[in-house]
Amino acid sequence: MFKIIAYGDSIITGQYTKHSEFTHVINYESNGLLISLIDSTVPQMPNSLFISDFNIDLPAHINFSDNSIFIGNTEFLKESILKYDSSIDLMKLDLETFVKNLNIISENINLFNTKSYAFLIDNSLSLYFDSAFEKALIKTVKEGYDDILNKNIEAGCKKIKGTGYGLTPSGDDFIAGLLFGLHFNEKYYGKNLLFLKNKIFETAKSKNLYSSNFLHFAKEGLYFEYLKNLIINLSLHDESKIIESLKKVLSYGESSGSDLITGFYLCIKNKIGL
Amino acid sequence: MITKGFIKKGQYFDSVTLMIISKDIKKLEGIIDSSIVMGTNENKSILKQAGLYCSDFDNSSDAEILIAFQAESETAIEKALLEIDNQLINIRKQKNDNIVRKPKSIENAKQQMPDANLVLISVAGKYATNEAVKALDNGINVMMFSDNVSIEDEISLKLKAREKGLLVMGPDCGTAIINGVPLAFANVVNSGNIGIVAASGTGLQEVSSIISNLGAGISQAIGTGGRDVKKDVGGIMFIEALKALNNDAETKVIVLISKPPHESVLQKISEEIKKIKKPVVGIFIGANPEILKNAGAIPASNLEEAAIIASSISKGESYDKSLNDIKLRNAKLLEEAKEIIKTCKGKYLRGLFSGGTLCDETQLIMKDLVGFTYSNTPLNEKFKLTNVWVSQENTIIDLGDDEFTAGKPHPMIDFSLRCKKIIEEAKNPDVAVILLDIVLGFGSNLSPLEDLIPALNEAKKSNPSICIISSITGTDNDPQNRASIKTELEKAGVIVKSSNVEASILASNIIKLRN
Repeated sequence: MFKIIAYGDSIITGQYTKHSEFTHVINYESNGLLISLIDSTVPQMPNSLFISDFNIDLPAHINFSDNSIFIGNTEFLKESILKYDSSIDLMKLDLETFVKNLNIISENINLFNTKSYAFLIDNSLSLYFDSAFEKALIKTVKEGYDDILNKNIEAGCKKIKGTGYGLTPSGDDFIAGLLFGLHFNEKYYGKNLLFLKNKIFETAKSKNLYSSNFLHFAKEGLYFEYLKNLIINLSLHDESKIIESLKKVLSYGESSGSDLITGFYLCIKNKIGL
Repeated sequence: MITKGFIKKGQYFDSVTLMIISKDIKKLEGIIDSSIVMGTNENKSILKQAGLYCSDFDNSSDAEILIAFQAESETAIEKALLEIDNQLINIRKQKNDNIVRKPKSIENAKQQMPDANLVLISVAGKYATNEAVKALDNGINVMMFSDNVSIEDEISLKLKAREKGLLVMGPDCGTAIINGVPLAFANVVNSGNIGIVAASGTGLQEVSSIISNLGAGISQAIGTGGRDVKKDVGGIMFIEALKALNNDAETKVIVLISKPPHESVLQKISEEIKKIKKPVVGIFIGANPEILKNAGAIPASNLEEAAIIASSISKGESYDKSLNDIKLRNAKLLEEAKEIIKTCKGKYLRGLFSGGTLCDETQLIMKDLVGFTYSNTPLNEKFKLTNVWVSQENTIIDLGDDEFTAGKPHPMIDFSLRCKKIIEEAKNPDVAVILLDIVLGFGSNLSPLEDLIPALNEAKKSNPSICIISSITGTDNDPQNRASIKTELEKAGVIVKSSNVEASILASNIIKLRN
């Protein structure tokens, strides 16, 4: 008998139907919203159900009500299951230390040689992009990034969204990172960026359910486990813990983690939105 | 050139899968360029810029996978598409089978394999220490394939391991055989009662292979990393490994392999040997055998000898006869050399080695019979090559050294540099002998003949009188199969000998006679 070890705090009630299956994640969908069943190798998310055993016959439907989770016909009471808290109260963190530690990201962004948008931080990584598609991709992304730096944020995001490799294209992950970075900028500089975040989200969202769900959480400031741990560690004084948690984010997906952190870092570094 | 596009609808594959397939397809014959991306409008725009767009993509959506090809022919595209489909089907099939999901951390791995007591770490050096600490904290022995670990970290890890009664093999440890399991670069050898402690990877491989080929077997072969026996590290793991083999019921004979340890370390090793009741055979390459004799070990003058002595003892036989047989064999090598020089021209030796220890051993043999040789890792600094890419007189190079391997696979895996050097050296009429070491086993090139034979053929074509001699480190049970490698090399005109020592003595005799 399997158990639900934890559920994400942002799952909307409803009936979800099996959508797609990967080695460590099985997705269920309802009206464009995803719930992801995950195992221990995947970070918890605002919409994840962390279960103890993937080697079972998972049913076609999952039902999420106010008090219970039904996986097929099996009911699990929410009150007896841990809830994953995807929020961070940034004001409770030492944001000065966070800013001082930010360089650790740029110094270690090339930890894994993936074809991510980390070339925007370390241009030498663009050497890995050698095919015709990749050269055109770099050109497009750099143009979009220049627009963002020149305060044409919407135009820049339009150029970058949907570009690149991956089930969640690198451009979408980059923009998600940007959105997470805007939350920091809001709190650190005391400026309301709600309108900008919504505009970026509307620009970037698409029919790609994976990207759109992730972008939604980024807009709302709902963090997946690895990013949450990194942000908390960045506000502390233990460099080895920062690198440990950065490695986890960077190794997420093929390049998703790296794309996301690039967007996050550059948004804060360049004070985007301010 | 043909540009064509396909759409995969209604299928979802994770980014890692898509990237792996994308990389594999680019290597296919006839494929000039390809891209596998999601069908977003932005990616379509980039495909247009790259000249990879097809009108078929016009109606695709964000959630569909676009596959774009530029190829030399329709046939190439068809083959590539088939390959993609096969890979995707295999991946689907794997997901539907009950496979064990790969862990992403030592803690995860321990959860999946709670009885595991060894971890092999092969990450970039600056992160390897952290992983080793985690392993030791979890009560797990460590093998560190990683190099570029600081000496301070190495010492700290080994002291921690010693305190916990665990082993840290490495850093820069490429070879071990634990409970019959070959780890990293290692050979498939017989199980038996000979235990090895080695601060030398290819030294361990040569000795363990010869032992197995002589019908004896290995209980455990523990690598320590080359730096362990230096002054700073002080032989911490060398000594712990020696103790472990002393306490191991399966081990009846112990073999120690290293370059000469630092004096202070040698002292500690000697003290430890004195406490051991089992026979200890030692080969410290280049060192005076008396050192080991005084320590109570049976000294061997080379790797082959160490293997022969250990095998004889393990079988309960006298090793004197075996060593006498070797002396006779070596005398015959002089006769063989006399025959070879009748057709051989030139006067110099060019040794092209993948194993550093074997390179050193050959230099020592040459030194005794002919004199010092030039090298990138010379015995005598006066004989350091001015330019490691240009041979001088008698030259023996270690192609596994840093100058040759920066950014490239090790020559045991990738033969391309060595093959290039074979062809280049053969063209020089002053070269009489090319000497090679072929190291088989896990981790090494699985199809060495595919690369070597064409190079050897070209060498022989450009210089029919060139003499090419090789040893093969390995066994018939290795994935490459030693016997079949030997047969094919001999067909290609290579003189194949049973050990690096035998090959080196023959080569040295030829050079001595030619000069």
